[in-house]
Amino acid sequence: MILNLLLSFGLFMGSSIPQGASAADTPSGFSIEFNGKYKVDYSIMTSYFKKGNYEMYQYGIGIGKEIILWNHLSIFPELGLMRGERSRNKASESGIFPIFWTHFLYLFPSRNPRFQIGFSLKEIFDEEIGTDFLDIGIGFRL
Amino acid sequence: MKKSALIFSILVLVSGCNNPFSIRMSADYFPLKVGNKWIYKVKGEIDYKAEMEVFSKDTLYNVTIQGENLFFERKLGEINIVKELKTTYEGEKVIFGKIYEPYLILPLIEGEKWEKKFTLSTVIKGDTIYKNIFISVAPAEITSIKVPSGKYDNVYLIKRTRIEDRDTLKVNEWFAPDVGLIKREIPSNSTKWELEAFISNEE
Repeated sequence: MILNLLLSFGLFMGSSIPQGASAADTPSGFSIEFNGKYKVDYSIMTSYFKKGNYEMYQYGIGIGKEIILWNHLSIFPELGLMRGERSRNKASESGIFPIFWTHFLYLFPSRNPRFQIGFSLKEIFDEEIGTDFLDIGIGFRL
Repeated sequence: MKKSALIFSILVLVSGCNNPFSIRMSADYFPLKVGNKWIYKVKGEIDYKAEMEVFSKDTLYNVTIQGENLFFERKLGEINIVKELKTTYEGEKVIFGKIYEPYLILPLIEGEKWEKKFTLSTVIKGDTIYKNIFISVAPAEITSIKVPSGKYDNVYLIKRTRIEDRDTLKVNEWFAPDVGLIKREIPSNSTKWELEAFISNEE
C-alpha cells in the first residue's frame, strides 16, 4: 500500500472564470493506492467557491486509476461523489452531485518519500459556476 | 477490490447524476437559446394559445411573446429584462431611460427572497416627474407540477410582486430544469399560462 499525498492550491481556474469570483480549493487531500495489480486510488477533496454573495462549498470522495505515461509522468483521472451546499441571501440548499477531475503529475526520482508536483483539472457540473478549476499541487508518496 | 471499485463507480454515477440536487445544479432554468420556442395554453376571460420564442441575440436576447418584443440580458448569476421606461405627461411622451430590471437571480435557491427598487426622475416643463418601481420576490419554493406538456419535478416557484407607481401586479411563475417557464399565473385576473409544447433548437 502506498500513501500518496498531494496538496493542491486553487491558484488558477478556467478561462471563463467570472469577474469578481474567487475560489479556494484543495482538490486532493490524499489518495491511497491499494494493490499493485489493480492500483485503485481513492481520494478525498474539499472545495469552496464564492462570487458576490453566492457561495458554494463541497466535500467528497473519488475513485480513479493512476496511469504512468512515462517514467516520471502520470495521469490520474477520478470520478467522485460530492456533498455540496450553495447559499445566497441567507437561503441555502444542499445535496450530492458527481464530479470529475484529473491530476497530471510529475514524479521525482527520489524514493521514500517520492516527491511529486502536478496540477489538477476539475469539472464541477454547476450551470452557474460555468468554469473548470485548475489547481497546482505538490506532494509526496510514502 | 476491483469489484468494489466498479460497484462504487456505478453508485457514483447513478446516485450522483439522478438525485434532485444534482439535477437542479446542472440545469438551465431559463434556456435562452435562439430558436427555442414555448407554446402555452392560456386560460382567462378568453382561452387562446400564446407563443414565446427566442428570436435573435445581439448583446441582448430578443424574445417575442405574442408578437411583442421583450429584451433579456443574461449575465452569469442573473437574467434582467431591459426596458425603456416612459409615461405620458400633459399629453406628451416622457422617457425616463433604460433600466435593467432583475427577472431571475441564478442559480435559483430554495427559500431565497429578494427586493429591488428603482427611482427615476426627469424634468418636463419645469416640473419634476418621478417613476418608482419596486419588485419583491417571495422565498422560492421547490415543487412538482403537471401541465399539458407533462409532469415536471425540481420546479422552482417564484412569486413576484411588481409595483410601478400605483399599479401592483402579482405574478407566480414556475420554472422547470432545462425547459424554463412552464406555468404563469396572474391571480388578480385569474389568467393561467400552461406549457403545451417546448421546441428546443438543438444545433
